[in-house]
Amino acid sequence: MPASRLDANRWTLGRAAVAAGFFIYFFLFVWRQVDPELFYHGDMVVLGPERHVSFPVFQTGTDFFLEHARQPGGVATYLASLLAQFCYYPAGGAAVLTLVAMTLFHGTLVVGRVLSLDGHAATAYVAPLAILGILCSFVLPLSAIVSIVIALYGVAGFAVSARLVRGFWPRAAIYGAWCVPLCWCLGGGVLVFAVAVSLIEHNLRTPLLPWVCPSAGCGILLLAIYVRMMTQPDRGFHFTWERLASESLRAAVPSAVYLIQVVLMAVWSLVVRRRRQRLNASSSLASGRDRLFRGLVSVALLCGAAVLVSFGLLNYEARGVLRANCLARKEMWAELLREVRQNPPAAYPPGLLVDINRALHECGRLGDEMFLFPQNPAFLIQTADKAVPHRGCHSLLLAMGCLNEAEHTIYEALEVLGSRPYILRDLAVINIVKQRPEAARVFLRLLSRDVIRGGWANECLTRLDADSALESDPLVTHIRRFAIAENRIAVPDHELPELAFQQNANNRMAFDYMMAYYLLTFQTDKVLENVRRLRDLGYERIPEHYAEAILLNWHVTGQEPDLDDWQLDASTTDRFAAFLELTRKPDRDPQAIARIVSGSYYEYYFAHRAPSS
Amino acid sequence: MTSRRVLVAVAATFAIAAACAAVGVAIWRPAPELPTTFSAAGRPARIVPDYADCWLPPNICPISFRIEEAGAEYRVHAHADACAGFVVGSRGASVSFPSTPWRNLLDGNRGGQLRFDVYVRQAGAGWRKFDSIVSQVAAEDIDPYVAYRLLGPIQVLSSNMGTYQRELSTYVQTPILESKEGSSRRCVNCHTFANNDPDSMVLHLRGAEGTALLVARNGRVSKVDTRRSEHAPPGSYGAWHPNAKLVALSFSAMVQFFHTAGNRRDVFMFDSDLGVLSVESNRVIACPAIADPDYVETFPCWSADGKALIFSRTKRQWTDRTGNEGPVPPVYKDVRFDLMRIAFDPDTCTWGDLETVLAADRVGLSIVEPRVSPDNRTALVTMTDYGCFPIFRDSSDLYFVDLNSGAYRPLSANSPESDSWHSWSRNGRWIVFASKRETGVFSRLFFSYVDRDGRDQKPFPLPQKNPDFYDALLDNFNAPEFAVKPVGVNQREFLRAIYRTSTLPVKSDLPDYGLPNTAPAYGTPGAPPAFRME
Repeated sequence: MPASRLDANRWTLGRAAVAAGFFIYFFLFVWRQVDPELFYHGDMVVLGPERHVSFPVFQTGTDFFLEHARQPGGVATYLASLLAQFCYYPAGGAAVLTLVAMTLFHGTLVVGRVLSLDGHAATAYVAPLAILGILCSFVLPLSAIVSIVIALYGVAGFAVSARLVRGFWPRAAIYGAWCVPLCWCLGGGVLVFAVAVSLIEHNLRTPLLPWVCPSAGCGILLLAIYVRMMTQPDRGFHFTWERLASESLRAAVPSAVYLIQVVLMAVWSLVVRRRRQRLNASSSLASGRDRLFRGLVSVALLCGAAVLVSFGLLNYEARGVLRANCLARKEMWAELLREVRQNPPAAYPPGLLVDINRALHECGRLGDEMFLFPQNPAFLIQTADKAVPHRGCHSLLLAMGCLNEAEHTIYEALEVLGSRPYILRDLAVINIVKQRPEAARVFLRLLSRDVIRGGWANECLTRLDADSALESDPLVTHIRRFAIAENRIAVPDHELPELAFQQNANNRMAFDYMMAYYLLTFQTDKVLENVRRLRDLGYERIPEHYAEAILLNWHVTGQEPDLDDWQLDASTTDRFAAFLELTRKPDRDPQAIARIVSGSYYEYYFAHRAPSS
Repeated sequence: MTSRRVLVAVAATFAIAAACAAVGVAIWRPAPELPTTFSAAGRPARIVPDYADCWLPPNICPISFRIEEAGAEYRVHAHADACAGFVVGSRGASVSFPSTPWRNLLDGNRGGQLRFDVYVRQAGAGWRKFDSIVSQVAAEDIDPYVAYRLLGPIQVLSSNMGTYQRELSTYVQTPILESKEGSSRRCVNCHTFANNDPDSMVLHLRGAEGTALLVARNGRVSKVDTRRSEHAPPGSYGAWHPNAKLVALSFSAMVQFFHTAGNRRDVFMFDSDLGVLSVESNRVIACPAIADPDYVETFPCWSADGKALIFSRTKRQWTDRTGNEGPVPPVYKDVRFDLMRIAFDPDTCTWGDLETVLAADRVGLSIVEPRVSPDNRTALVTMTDYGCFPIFRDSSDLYFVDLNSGAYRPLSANSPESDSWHSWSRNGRWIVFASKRETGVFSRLFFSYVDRDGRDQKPFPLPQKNPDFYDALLDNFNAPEFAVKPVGVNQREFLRAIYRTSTLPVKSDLPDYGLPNTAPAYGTPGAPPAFRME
């Protein structure tokens, strides 16, 4: 304990400075390295086996609130969903996440003070460090954190309200008055409240209550989960105690993880007290220099832990994939290509491939560079339920003019994923294009409840009032221009670009994807056949992969191609000649061959073609 | 410490008193009064939904609407010739009416007119009174319940749907059988009641738990497998005989397919036969005339006296009956169904002659979903440009067909969008149908009065407490069926039948032509794919 008031102030200022420094670092790291925007746009991005990002939806209005409030833990989930929306803004999201971590830190300090724990200021950093580590893995457990924070302040509230009350029954009544609503609002987070209150009661030596509190807390949580299960007809019908136990355990996991920190705080408090007792017994008081030394060591340890956790746990692979996805969602195509070239992922999720191909097309490079990336004809263009996990698919279909297929795909996504803002937005656009403004209004009214996209939706509603066809909107005009008008049924996905191109010979996107499909399915003759269309589409030269396909076709068929005034680049023909030369040698050098063909169509062709071709 | 306690007690007392006062004010607000000075607007106010010229049942719940006139305050005076009515006020444009005064107003004015006088006060200006919006109160009640499917705009995958019932004198909607999270995403459809009485009902079920017909009679539910063989289609579209012992079923092999332009979704019926399930003997009775391999028979409906079966039929113009030779035959857009009738003796279960009531060639449209009026004179049908799934076709409209003469006429209630899936009330004065008239995408339920001369009146939508209810609702109301009482079986009983009851096989007299069960699989939603694609 500091000897004088001045020392106490210095001690408090010192701690405040350390905390401020830590959370500034937290904020800057989350903002610049983690980037909350990646969470916002990362919905449905696959990050690993059985793991994908799921970003919560939030809507203003009482309906959405009541939908959550009817379930245990729903209020915490509601608040967490609201806070998560700020991740749309990188700095704003980082600020919100830092604030949440700060409230968790402060709540831990408050509980430590209430429990009269010594040295809790140091151990209170464990929770925000854990949050930092979790964010570095690109998991956003806001709902669990919010429920724990509220539970911690609930402990403080209980301590204040029960301060003047003595006796088992009055204190039990106050505990019940806090516990029941907290349980309904927080779900599993109530266990933190229950355990912390039991420790308070233990300190106060209240009879029985230290045992009643956690038991009652667990019982109320079980009851709340039971009620939720029974209100869902099938779940209620299949009710078993095992299922109840398993759901309760799942709800209790975040609290259990947090309570480890409480245990740590209690253990550390014991250590600190014993050391103080030893110091007091030896009648030696720690000198100011000793305290400063210990403070500096603590700060150094904290800094080391922060750096270790943040940079050590940062999942660079996931960040790369999420960054690419974020750039695709923002239609920053050149930046997306730069990102995947600079930080190529170890494995390419199909959704990323869809976005890369789109980016290559938008940058005019699909015919030149698509084989720099792993390709699979099954993922070139997908519709309906297959495309639900890949967000780029329906916007690709829409841009290509496959209006009905885009609509089908987005409706499947709506049914599976719910009213995500990007789904509502695209459905509104589709219905505007189809001259169904009233249907578009339904989607837009729902979207207007989104805190981020609501402004756009309201603006769109206003524009629809003035012009129900939105003739002046460039996106609408573009889609209408290229929309497939010919009615055919059950068209396979891979034939859609061809159909769209037949509808409109200016549809360069359809042409690019059509040619990409020919390349992926070794139809080099079709590539050659369509070279004559390049000039009409604004090409100034034959793209590299088309040229490679033409050379392959020439080599296989022996017929010189008619290129209709086009010339093949000398570098392309030289490369092919060198490749043939190397393959003809009896002692083929695989590495030399690989160097020649790397990133070319030849590599894909010979690696994947059917033996007969 | 004592003063602190006193302070806390005083603060708590004030807080409780303020809360009580607020509640009191909210509950015991004085009724708004009609403005005494106002200017005349010279036209009726625009309201949504539009109830002008609608016929309302005297036992319907209070309607609500939004006044589409700019203003800072609104008053609505609902009254009738024989009743002063009541006044409601609102600062917002949405207006709803209190239950008791509404019920008294309608009940006391059966057969009379109902007027809504709308007053709007603009900010900084006086009141404007709009011309009365006039509706009619019918003399006859509407059936007290309507059952329907409620589902999102699902295509193939489904995760959330159910069959519900709504009490029409209130806003209460209760589930009959839901399919939500944890339900293995089953599809429930084709709920049918005998004589509008849910004491006898069937419900078709399809999902991971298998395909079955749930038969609920007098509080007990059984699960029946109506398929004639393992891979044959089950009975789906059902119609109870008036004796509540027989159910006519359609055993249909259908597929959903998609267009690249225009109406996106479509359904093709490769083949279908009709059979009659005897719920007492658990046997499907067949008749060659309604299970002809050269024809596609579907949409059965009994006449009101049970002496005839009305249905839709088309000649099968394609050879592929299984869907294995290609997705859908190119003639799909030329398929039109005739309206047929076959005599039936319910005492001996024997069949009479088959005759055409109305040929598709005569009208140039496909005639499906017949429903015979309780007076046995008229069939209410849906006609569409082709095919058997009118809810997917904008061209679908409702028609009355005279069962004696074959004369037909469209309902005045039709709209440019799809109108289909209809049901008669037991007294034959009301019809309910699903219509996409408001958006072209989302189907809502509409009610229309049919007078004794067979004229239908302007329809009105299923009333909701909040007039903005449908504005942002993505769900579709589908397959409405009137009911004279609530379904007597609760959801738990249905679930018990689904999960715990063994399926009763049915002895089927239907010939097995090798029809496939091509019903679309309602599987689990698409999960994110495997991670690696190197």
